[in-house]
Amino acid sequence: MSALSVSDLVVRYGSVQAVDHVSFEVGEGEFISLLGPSGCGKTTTLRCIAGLEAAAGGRIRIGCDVVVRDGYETPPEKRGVNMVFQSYAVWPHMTVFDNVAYGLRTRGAAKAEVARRVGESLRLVGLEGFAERYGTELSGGQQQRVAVARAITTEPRLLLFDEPLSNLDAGLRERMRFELLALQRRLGRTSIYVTHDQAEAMVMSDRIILMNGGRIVQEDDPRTLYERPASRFAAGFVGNANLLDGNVVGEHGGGAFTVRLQGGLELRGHASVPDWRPPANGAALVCIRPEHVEVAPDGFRSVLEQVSYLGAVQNCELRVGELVLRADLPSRPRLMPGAEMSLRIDPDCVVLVPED
Amino acid sequence: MTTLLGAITRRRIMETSLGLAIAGTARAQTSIGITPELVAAAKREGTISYYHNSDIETTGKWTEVFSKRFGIEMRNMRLPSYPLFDRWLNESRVGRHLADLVQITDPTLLSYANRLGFVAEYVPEGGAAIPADLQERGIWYGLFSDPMGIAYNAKNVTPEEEQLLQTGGWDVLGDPRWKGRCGTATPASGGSSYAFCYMFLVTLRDRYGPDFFRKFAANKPDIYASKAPLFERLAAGEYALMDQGSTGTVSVLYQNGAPLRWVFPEPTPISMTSQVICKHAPHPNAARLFQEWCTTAEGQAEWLQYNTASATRPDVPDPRKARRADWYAEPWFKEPKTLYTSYLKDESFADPKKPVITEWNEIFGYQSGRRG
Amino acid sequence: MGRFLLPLLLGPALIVLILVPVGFMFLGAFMSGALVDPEARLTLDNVAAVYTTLPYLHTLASTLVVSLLVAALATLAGVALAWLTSRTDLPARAMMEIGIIAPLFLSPFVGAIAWLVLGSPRAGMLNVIAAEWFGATGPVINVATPAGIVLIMALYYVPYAYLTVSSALRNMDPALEEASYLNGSGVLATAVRVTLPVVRPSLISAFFFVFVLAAGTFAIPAALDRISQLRFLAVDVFQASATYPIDYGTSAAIGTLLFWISVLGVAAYRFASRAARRFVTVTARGYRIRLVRLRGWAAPSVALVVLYVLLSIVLPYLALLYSAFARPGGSIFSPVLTAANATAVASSREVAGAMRNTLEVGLITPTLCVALGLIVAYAVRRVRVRGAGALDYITMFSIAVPGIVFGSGVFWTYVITPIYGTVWVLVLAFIASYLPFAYRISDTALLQIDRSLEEASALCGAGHARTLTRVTLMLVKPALLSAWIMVFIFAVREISAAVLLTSSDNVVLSVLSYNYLDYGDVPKAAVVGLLQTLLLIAGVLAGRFVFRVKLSRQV
Repeated sequence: MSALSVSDLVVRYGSVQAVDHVSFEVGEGEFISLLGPSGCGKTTTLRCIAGLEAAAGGRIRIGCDVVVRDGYETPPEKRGVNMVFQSYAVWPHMTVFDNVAYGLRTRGAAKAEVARRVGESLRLVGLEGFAERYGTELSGGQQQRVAVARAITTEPRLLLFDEPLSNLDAGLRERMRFELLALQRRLGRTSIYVTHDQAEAMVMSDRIILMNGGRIVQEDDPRTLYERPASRFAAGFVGNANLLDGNVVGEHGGGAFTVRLQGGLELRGHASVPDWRPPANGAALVCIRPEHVEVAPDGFRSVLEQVSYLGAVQNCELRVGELVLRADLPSRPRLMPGAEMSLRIDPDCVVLVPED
Repeated sequence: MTTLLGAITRRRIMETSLGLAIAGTARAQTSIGITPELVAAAKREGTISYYHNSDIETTGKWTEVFSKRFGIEMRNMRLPSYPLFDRWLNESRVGRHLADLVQITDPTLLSYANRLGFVAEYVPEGGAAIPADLQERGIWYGLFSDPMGIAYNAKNVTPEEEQLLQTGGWDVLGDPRWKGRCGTATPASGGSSYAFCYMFLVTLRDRYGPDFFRKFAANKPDIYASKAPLFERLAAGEYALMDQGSTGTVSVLYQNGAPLRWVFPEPTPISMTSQVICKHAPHPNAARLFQEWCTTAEGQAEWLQYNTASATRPDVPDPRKARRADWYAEPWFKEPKTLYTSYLKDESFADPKKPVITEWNEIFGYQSGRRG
Repeated sequence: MGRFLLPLLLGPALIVLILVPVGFMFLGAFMSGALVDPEARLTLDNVAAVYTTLPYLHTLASTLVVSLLVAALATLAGVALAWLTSRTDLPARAMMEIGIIAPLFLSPFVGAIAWLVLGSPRAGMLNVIAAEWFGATGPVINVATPAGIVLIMALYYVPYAYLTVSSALRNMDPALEEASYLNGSGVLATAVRVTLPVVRPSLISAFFFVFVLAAGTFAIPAALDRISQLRFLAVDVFQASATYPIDYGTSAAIGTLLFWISVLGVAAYRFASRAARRFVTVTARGYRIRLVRLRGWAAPSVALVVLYVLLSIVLPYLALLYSAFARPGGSIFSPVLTAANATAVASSREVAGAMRNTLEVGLITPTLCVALGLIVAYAVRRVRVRGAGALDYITMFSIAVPGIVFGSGVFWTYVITPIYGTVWVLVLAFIASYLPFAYRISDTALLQIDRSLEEASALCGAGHARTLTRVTLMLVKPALLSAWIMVFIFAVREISAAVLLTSSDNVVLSVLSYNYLDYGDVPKAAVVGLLQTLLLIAGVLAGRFVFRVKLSRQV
């Protein structure tokens, strides 16, 4: 039995469908991300699972308990889930200890046990020694850890994260990603993580649920999502991509095709989705990741128009006839605009993506 | 060579013709009456600022009549008596002379103001018709008098009690049967209340004095800092009776259907609405014209159209009395026999320390929050 | 340049407006008579009597106790009502809110009269009804008792507490409560353990706000207190300045005592307000706040709000209507109606003039007051002028000074000027009295605007004045309109200062009703009170629908 089952969830704000018949399952101990742009419905879905928003339709089951069904909603305090909020929501009138102990005390746990478990949680997030401080005295990063400590102390069935790192600066954010992930692995709690940052989702998740316009667009592990995007949106949103219009000119079975791009360049590639057939007019959308464009002899010709040095790579704009390709080339040797370069792309990296 | 008569006549003519010519601080002692010259001079000034402490509506309608007749705009300001007086005093002292006339229910204040030099001397023609004890010639003139008696709610008293009230005089207030059923107001609240209490505690101290009030105080009356709500509550049935019942207020409530009645034990104190012309009145001729009109029979009769007080001129009777209308037709109503007016000329009445208030407060256990 | 010019202009303006009248009050406390009385001498007698003798200390104690009680009751009710309207799914919330704020429309003076009609022990309307319908033998309500006075005062101060707390509740991060739910606490436990403590600084500031206002009130206790059981400093000030012998020295000395009490209260209030700002965070995103579902509690909650509205508005207005339109001869159950009072008032020249003056004062005062409040707030918060702290303090000063004391100070300040005797002396007195409200609302609004919006204007070359008018003003408009309406309400209602400054040419409605009452004409006072209310309602409706302003959002 899955830890969480969401079927046909519908949420409306007035006449707008914020969540439009969303269904997915999460297994025990999995780390799932809900990824998407602002307004895609990911946070609303999360809040429905928590019981902080009301659903207009659908079913939600947590463990063996159906918490949402027609006309019935279990209040949030009875669902056995906990959440780390984007604003941390650290209670300013309580110490760090009181914040973290709150859930246990509400259950009436004994003092000794409360002290022990709170101490453990604080150790896990690296905040031992902060127990007597007040929320308003802490930095953003420290408040975030308090929020995490508080959420895990009640040992919830589901641990929810609502863009918890978006208010931190870049360096701290990267570090926290790994810490959160390590924590989750250690505790083994089923976790659902909402973010708009695809790099974050990729680093942390077992599976990513990509959402757009209130619907689920694709649901896959990070590698599959990245290498086999199932729609233009998925290709563009997850990572950088060259999205080029082309025409299928040859079919080779097993999902392999040859496609002619604008200006005549022909490449061999394969479909991201099995059983994909080109439409009647043969139009196809080709997705090529910048890092898969290689400099090689006997390749097709191109002229380097612009280059930006990024340290790890040189991000280049290459003109191939009518096409403009973006490529991440190695940082050495140094490239200068105007250079003629011979390129090749591995057929495995030329992905034919179904239109939305 | 002039005879005594000639000298007097000549002086009189000189004063008469001098009178109008000097504006501002003229000291016309002679009665001129409402002459065309006065009216013309008043019209040129065009407006009067009138400080008063009577009913707004009545005063408004009454001054409107004057306004229409002579074409002079009346700008009235009403305040309770003491704040009114005090305001006028302060304005005068700093040299802001805004008021033309001041009308107030405590004429001793006006005498005091005169001694400070803020009152213009002027004798209106109608002054001769007003009794001498109701004016200070050339200074203040009493216009309307309002006798105060015991007012009671007919629904809250039995016929025997009513009989007692009719015949018992002032002493009936001390009867213990009224305990918890009566109301009164502090003498600090206004000239009429002060005059009322002054009569018992000073003028008739031997006959009444503090003991009289102690008996009344033993009935635990509700004490009001201002009389107005007291009247209203009496009419509503909260009490059986109140002292200091001013005819002006009580009769209006009666006309509106309240079950109120009143008696005037002897002697009956009155509150005297009196009026002066300000020394530095910005519109002196208009002020004089108004003072003239107020002391004429027509002027006073006009007031009685809207109000229920009595005019000071004996030739202006209450039209209701003539018609035997309203309370004059009632069996329980009897006009007051003896009016108490001696306080008007009593020097000690104007004592700024107002010892009566202190004594009254002490008797009734009312700490009005002032020292001494 | 603005840093020095602004305070040079604002400082003296505020000093004349606010500090000079207060100065006259202090001076008056040390004089044996009126300031211009040639026989008045400097003396310590008044001050010594007021500050050290027993009757006054007794009054001081009584005033403090009652004010604290009133503040506690009003805050309690205000919190409950604010929580119900901003955190739950109470039905018809918008209407309920109007009802809760509505007592602001009723001048406490007129309200006190209404309560006298309702609740005097024998003839009060409520007691008569109780006797008729329920066979009650004694009075059910007796407003002449200390308990009655405290309750009625508390009723009229609930809106102030409500507005303060409600604003804090609305600005609170809802995630704080959501986190509590997810940690296992139910609705009530969350309200008690999280919501209330987080808004505690606002509660404290509401408490002291009401405390200061209550300590300076004279209208209600003056009208209701029958047997001098309850001593009030403000009533003593009034009596010393309105009844014979007029004792300015004592009146001013008591005024100074009130002043210190209020200053302490205001200091506590400011301290708590600052803490409130630190404690409360503005929400990050505009997600729908999860409202508490009252379910079975909905009916009792609605009943509570309805009870409050009944007591604070409905009953008093019924009493006023009865007083205005029923002849004294009839009874409550079979009233004899008359339009005489209403027609007399409608056709009265005095009333027409008073309406004109009230409108003038009511329109000019808030406009100037809000403008001044905004300029001072801008100078203090944005321009960071020299002496900003002093400006801030002076502007809030007048809350500490009750109207009757301030009014007499204003009298002395302007009596020798041509302003005296015109509506302008009222306008200036009211601007000074209500500047703290306008300032505070502007200040709060400015704090919530991201500075970068104004910094962008500066970088485009605009000076302070241009930025203020083109950028800031547009952004704070809703708050300003809200402040305008609040000051409009106060200016139309204000009675104590108005009475002290009235003249032939500037009579306003509240002075009229005061005079009617003093003369004994309760029905006409009631009619004028109703007129005032109509005027206020018209003003607020205009604000709500024309300018789309909601008072509760901006405080």
